[in-house]
Amino acid sequence: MNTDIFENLRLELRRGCLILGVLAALRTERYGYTLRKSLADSGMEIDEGTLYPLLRRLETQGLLLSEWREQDKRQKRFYRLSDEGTQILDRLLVEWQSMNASLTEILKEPENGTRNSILTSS
Amino acid sequence: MELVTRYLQAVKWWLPGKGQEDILRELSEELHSQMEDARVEKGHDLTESDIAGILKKQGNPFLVASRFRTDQDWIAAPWLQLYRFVMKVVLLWVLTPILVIVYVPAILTAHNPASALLQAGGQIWLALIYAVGMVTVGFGAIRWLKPDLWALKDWDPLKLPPTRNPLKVSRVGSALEVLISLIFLSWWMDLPHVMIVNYAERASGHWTTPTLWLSIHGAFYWLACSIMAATVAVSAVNFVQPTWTKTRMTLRAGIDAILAIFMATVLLLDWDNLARQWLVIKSHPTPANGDLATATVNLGIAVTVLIIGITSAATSIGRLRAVKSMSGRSNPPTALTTTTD
Repeated sequence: MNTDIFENLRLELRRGCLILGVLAALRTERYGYTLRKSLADSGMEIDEGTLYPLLRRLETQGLLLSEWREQDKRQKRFYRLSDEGTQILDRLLVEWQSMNASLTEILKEPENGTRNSILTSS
Repeated sequence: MELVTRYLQAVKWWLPGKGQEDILRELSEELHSQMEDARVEKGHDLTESDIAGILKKQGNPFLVASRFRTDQDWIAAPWLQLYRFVMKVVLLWVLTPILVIVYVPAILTAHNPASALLQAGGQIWLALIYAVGMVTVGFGAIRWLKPDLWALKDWDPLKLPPTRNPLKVSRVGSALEVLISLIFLSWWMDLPHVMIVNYAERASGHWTTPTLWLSIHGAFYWLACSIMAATVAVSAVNFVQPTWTKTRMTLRAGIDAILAIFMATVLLLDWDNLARQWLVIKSHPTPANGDLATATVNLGIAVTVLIIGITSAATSIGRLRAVKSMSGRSNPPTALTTTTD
């Protein structure tokens, strides 16, 4: 198996999911570090080098709002979903659920009788 | 903590100008949160080696900064900032001086400067295309060659450069400025004496100074004195208190701007004469070579005045930018200053 190809495809697959994960997590206001921990606790590890540029991009696109505030005697930048972000997230979730349902259906189809279903075997 | 400041400083070097402070503050906050958690976990204050481990995990400053770029296109992702840096060095510090040295004397000494300028323009344009093209193709190739970035990943946070304080002034530099300004000032104030009293002696000797100097001296006497006196004053204060303040930096930017205007005025006043008659070398064995030597020396002086003018203008702009950023710093503390506090 070509590790590079797998890694590239895995990253591509993860990229979209990370955006969904970040938007969903920011329905509750959080700052970068706690957001990263909360995503990691849910099984979605994301490194700082990916998270912070992503947050800035989403904010530039108007999907997030941010604000510097003091907490525990330190200035922290808190992020939350904007109204537009909420609408976009709802639409993306519908899209994702639809794709997930389709994929599940596709994976259930037998492959020339050699394998029944990846889902049932896993 | 000092290691974190050095790390942030290294990241800053590669960050895009826009939003730089904001990115650094957030990165600083992330690092401090990680360090706090690590401290709680270990049950003791972090050692330098612990902090180095956190920074190492964070990533090479060059790669971390490159992820914040949004304008990456066909230059491979982490390399755009380096591409810009190399391009700046090649164009400003390599190509420009070479072109000035090669073409300016040729244009100024030509019988028909306009035609020489036109001809040089074509060649300069080609040189620019060649330089920009070579650098761009070189960096573009990185995308296709996909070099292994092991050197960037295998880095040691403990070897990061020491913290720089952009507001710190070199005492040696200030002392030199005071000395040079005083030497120039005394020479300038004594110029009529040098020119008039010793003129006869000089004229019979090896070289003469045309009356052009006296007309410049008469017209700009007080301006030059004021510039030098102000420079001496600011540099003397900088020597005693070697940290720039907003007032001193503004004053210095003003002095540089006035010096640039002064140089431009001198050059524009009577370029044709100035380029040829700063100095006349008389006692050369062969008259033809004497003329050539005179032309070369005069051109050298004129180009020096031009370079002083351009440098002063650039320095003035740089200082004004620094004043602007100092104004920004009076709002929320920056990441770099926060960590050093």
